[in-house]
Amino acid sequence: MGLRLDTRALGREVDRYPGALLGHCVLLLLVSVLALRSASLTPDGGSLHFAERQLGWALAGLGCFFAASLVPYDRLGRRWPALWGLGLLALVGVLVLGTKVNGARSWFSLGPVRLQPSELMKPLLALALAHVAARLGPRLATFGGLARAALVALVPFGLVLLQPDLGTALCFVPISLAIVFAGGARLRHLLGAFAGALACLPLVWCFLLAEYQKLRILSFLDRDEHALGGAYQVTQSVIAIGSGGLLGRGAGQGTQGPLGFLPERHTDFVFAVVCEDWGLLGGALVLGLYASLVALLLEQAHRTRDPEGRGILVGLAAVTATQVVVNVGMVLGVMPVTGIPLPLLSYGGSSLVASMLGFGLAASVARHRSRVALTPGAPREAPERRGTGRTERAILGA
Amino acid sequence: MTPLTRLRLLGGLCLVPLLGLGGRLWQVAVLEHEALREQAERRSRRVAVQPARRGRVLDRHGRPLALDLPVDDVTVDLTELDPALELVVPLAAALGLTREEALARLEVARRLAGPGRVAGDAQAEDGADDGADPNERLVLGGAPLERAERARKALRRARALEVAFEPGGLAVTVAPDVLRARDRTLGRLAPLVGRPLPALVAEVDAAVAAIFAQARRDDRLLAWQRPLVVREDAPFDVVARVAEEGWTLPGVAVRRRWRRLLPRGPLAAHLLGTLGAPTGEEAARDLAAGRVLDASRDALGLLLGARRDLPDDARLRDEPYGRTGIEAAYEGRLRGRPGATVLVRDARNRTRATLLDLPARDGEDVTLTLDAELQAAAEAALDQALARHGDPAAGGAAVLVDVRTGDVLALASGPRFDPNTLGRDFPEHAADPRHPLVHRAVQAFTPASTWKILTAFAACDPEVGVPPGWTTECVGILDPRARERRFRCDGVHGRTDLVRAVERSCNVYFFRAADRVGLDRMAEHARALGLGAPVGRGIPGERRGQVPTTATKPARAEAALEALAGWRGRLADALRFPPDPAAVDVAARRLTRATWWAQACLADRQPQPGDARNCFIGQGDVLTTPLQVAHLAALVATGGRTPWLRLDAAQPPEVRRFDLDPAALARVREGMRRVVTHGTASRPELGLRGLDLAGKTGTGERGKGDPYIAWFMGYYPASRPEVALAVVIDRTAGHGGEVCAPVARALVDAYRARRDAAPLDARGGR
Repeated sequence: MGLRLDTRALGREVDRYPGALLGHCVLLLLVSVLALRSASLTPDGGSLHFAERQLGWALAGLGCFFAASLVPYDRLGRRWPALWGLGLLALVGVLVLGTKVNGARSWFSLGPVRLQPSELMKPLLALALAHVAARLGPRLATFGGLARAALVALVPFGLVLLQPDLGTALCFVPISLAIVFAGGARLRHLLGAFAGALACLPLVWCFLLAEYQKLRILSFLDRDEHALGGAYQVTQSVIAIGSGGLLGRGAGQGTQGPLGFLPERHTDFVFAVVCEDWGLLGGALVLGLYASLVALLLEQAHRTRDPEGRGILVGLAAVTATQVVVNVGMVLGVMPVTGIPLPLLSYGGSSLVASMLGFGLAASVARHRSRVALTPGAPREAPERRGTGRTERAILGA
Repeated sequence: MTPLTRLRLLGGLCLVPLLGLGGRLWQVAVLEHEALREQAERRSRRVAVQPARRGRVLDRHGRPLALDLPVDDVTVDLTELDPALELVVPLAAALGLTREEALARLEVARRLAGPGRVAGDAQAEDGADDGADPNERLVLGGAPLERAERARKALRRARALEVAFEPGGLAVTVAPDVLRARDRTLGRLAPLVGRPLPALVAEVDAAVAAIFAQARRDDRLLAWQRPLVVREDAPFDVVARVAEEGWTLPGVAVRRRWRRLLPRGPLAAHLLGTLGAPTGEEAARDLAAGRVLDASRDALGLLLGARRDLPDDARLRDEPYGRTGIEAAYEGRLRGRPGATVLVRDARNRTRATLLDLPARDGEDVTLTLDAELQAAAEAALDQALARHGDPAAGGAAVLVDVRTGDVLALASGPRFDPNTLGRDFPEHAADPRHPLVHRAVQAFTPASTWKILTAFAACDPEVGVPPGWTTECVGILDPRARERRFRCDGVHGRTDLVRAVERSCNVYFFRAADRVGLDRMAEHARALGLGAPVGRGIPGERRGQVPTTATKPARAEAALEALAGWRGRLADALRFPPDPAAVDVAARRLTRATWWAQACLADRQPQPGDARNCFIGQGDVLTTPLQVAHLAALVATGGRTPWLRLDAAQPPEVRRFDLDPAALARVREGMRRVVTHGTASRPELGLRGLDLAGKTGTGERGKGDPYIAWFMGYYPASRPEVALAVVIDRTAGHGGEVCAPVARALVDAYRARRDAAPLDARGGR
C-alpha cells in the first residue's frame, strides 16, 4: 500500500501530546456524567436520561478535542475572517430562526438536538482575537490598535446581547480582555475603555431607549436576580451544599437534589449536586481540577513563544476561570444569579462541545509550541524576540 | 510590563477568586453544616397522622353500647388542586383589582382556555388544528405603564404569570395549562366519586369564594389548609378507586376518620356520655405541653427526636375529649394513641418514601357490668311511667344492682335523648323543661319515705334510741294539741311497732323516734351506712347526696353569703371600664339568684325543733341518689355485707361490712316484705303481690300544690336476695306505689327473664 507506519514519529507525537490537559478534561467530564447520574437519582429510582446524553456529548466533545488538537491552530487562525463571519452568521440566524427558551432567542432547534451558537462563538472569538492581536503586535499598545481588536469582540457581543443573553455575552469580555492584555495592551487603555463604557450607559439609557425597552431591560436584569426566584434557588443550593457536609450524603441519598428542591440541578446548579452527594471533598476536588486546568493553560501560555497561541490559551483560561467563579459563586450564594453554566460539568451539548473545541485548540497550541521550538528555520521562529524588538521599536517610535 | 508579569497578573486574577470560593465552600459545607442539614431535613419531611380508634364500650355480654365506625371521606386540597389560585393575590395587586375581581378574571380565562388538548386525544395530537394555538397565553388584563413597575414587583413570585410590555402599556398573561389543571383533575375525579362534574366544580367554586370572602388573613390561611370534603362516608369501591388513581390527581386524598356511634341510640345514653372537641383553652394547653401531633413543627420535634416514638398522651388537634359519662371517666382507657407516618416529600409536595411509620394504637374496650336488655327494659318502663304519671316537667331514674357483686345491671334515666343526633338536637333538648340531658340516676333527690329504712336502724340506736320492739300509738297526727306546726301521718295507724311503721310508712312512729335520737345521731348512722358519700366505684357523675346535721343550715347560709359576695365582686369587675356587656349580664343574673338563695338560707338559718322529725321521714335537707337508695335496699338484703356498686367489669367486686342491729334488720325485712303484700304497694293492680319482692314506697312533698316525688325501692327475691332496685319519678301527681311500682315490676320481670335465659356470670364479661 505504500503506507508505512512511522512508529518513531508517532512516538514523538504521543510524547508531545498535552496529556495533562486531556486528563483534566476527561476527569471533569467523568465527574459531570457521575454528577448528572446522581442528579437524576430519586428515592423511587429515576432515569439516566441526562447522564446518558451527557456521556454521548462527552464522547462527541472528545472527538472535537482530538480534531481540534490535530489541526494546526495557526492555519485556522489565518482563516479567522471566514470562521468569525460564520459565527456571526449563526448569531444573526439564531435571532431570526432561533427558538425562545427562558426568554432568550439563543437556540437552533435541529430535531432532537439544540444548538447554541453563542457557546460556539467563545472558542471562535478566542481564535480570531488571538490572531488579530498577534497581527497587531505592538500596535495593540496604542488606542487605535486596541479599538480594532475590540471591534472583533464587540460585534458578537452585541449580537448575543440582542438575544438577549447577558450571561453568555459577558463571557466574551474576559476572553477579549485577557487576550489583548496578554498581547500587550496598556492597562490604562483598558481601564479607560471600561470607564468609557460605564460612562456611556446613562447616555444610552436616557436618549436611545424607549420607555418599554427600559422596562424590558430592568425586568430582565431584575428577573435574573430575583423574579425567577433567584433567592429561592440560591437558598436551596446553599442548603444542599451545607447538608452535604464534609463527605456528602452519597449519590442520590440527599434530599435537596433528588426531591426536586434544587432547581436547575442538571445545568446551572450541578455544583450543588456534587457538593450534596460528595460533600466538601467532591466540591474541593472539582474546584481544584478547575484551578489546576487554568494554571495548566496559563503555564502553557507562558511556555509558548507564539503570541497567537498564547492569546488563545490565555483567553480560554480567562473564560474558564470566569465561568467557574461566576457559576460556583452563584451556587454558593456570593454572586448574583446569572445563567452561566459550569464548563464541562453542566448538562448541555453546545457548551460542552464548545468547551472541548476550545481545549482542543489549546492542545493544538501546546503541541505545536514544541514544533515551533523544534524548527528554528520556520518563519514563526523566535516570535518572542521579534515581538519584543517590535515593541521596543514602537515604544521608541511613539 | 513584561509578558511574564502580565501572565502572572492574569493567573492571579483567575486563581485568587477560586481560592476564595474554596473558603466559602468550607464555610457552608463545614461551619454551617448542622443548621443547613436540619433545614434540608425539615423541608423534605412531611408528617401524615392517623387518628386512633377509640375503644368500644360493651355491656356485660360483650354487646357494643358505643363504638367507633370508620368513615372515609374523599377530600381535595384546594390550593394543590388548582394552581391558578396562587395567582389571584399577585394578579389583584398587579392590576389594582379586588381579590374577587381577580378571581373572576381567572375564571373567564379558564373558560376561554377550555379543556385544551387531552393526552390520548388522537385527533388533536395528529395536528388537526383549527387554527388556534392551544398553548397561546391568555391575557388577564392590562395596565398603563405607570403601574408597570408595581405590577412587575407584584408578579415576581407568580411564575405562571408574565408581564408583556407593549408600547401602550403592559399586559399580564397566563399560561393556559395552569388554568386547565383544576378541571382536568376534577374531570377525572368526578366519575370516581360518582358525582356530576358541574356539581363538583360548583362546590369547589363556592368553597374558594367563601375563603376569599373571609376578612381576616389568618382565617383565610387556616381555611386553605382545611381540605374540602367532596364525598363523605365514601363506600369501599370509591375509596379503592380514588386511592388507586389518587397519585395522579394532585390534591385529592382519602381521609380516614372515626365516628362515634351508639348502635342502640338512646340506650344508656346518659351513662355513656358524650365527646366534645377541645376547647380553646385545652387546645392551647396541649400545644404548650407539646403533645399535639399535627401541629407540624411539634410533630417533627416529637417524631424526629432521639426516641423516634410518640408519647402516650400524643393527640391530634381536633381529637375529641370525653366530656361526660363513661366517655369522660374512662377516657384514659378508651382513647388510643394516634399514629404518624413521616414521609419524604419532594418540592412539589408529593410523597416519595416513608421514613418512619408509627401505626395508630387503638383504644382499649371497656366492658361494663350493665346488661343491655335489662337497661332497655328499665328505660322502656321508665318512659311509660313518665308518660302515664309524670307532669310536663317530669323526669325519673331506675337502678337495678346485683347485691352479691355490686354490679350495676341497669342505670336508666328519663326522659332520654339520642346521642347520635345530639349535635342537631341540642338546642331543642336544652330548651326542653324536662331536661332530657340530665343524668338523673346519679343526681340527688329528696328520698321521702325510702329514708325510713335508714331511720329504722337509727331509731334502734342502742344508747339513745328505742328498743327494736318498741311500740307507739298513731292517731294520724303527732300532737293533736299543737297549734302552729302540725306533724301529720298519712293515716291513723293505731298501735304501731317497727314492722308496721315500715309497712304502713307511719310518720308518727318516726317523729317520736326522732325526738329521742336527734338529727346529729341520725346523721352518724346515715354515714355509717354509706350515705352522704358515693356508694359506687367508677360510676361517672355520682353525687354524694346530703346527710343533714344541726350544722347544715348555718353552714349553708354562710356559704350562700360568701357566694353572694363573690358574685358581687364579679359584677364590679365586669362593670369596670370598659365594661363587657356579656359578662355584666351573666354576673347580674347570677347575683340575682345568689341574693335570692342567700335570703332563703338566712331565713332558714336557725335549726328548728322540727328539723329532726322532718329529716327522719326523708324530707327537709336529706338528699339521696337513686344509687344510694338502691344501695340501702341492698344493705337490708345482704344484712350489711354489701359490695361497692361497680360499673367496670374489670374491677373486682369488693364487699363492705356494715354494722346492722340484727333485731332491727329482721323487723325491717319483714316490714319491707309486708309493704308489698299488705302495705303501701300491695294493691293488686300494681302487680307486685305475686312477686317474691320486698320493698318500700316513698312520696315526697316539695311544697303546697307542687307535684310529688315518687319512689320505690326494694330487693328481689325477698327470701334469697339477688338484686336490689330503686325507682324515682320526680314531679308526678301520683303516690310512690302507684307510679313507681310498675317500673319495679318491669325491672323484676326483665331480670327474671334474663336470669332464666342466661345466668349472670358473677364476674360480668361475655
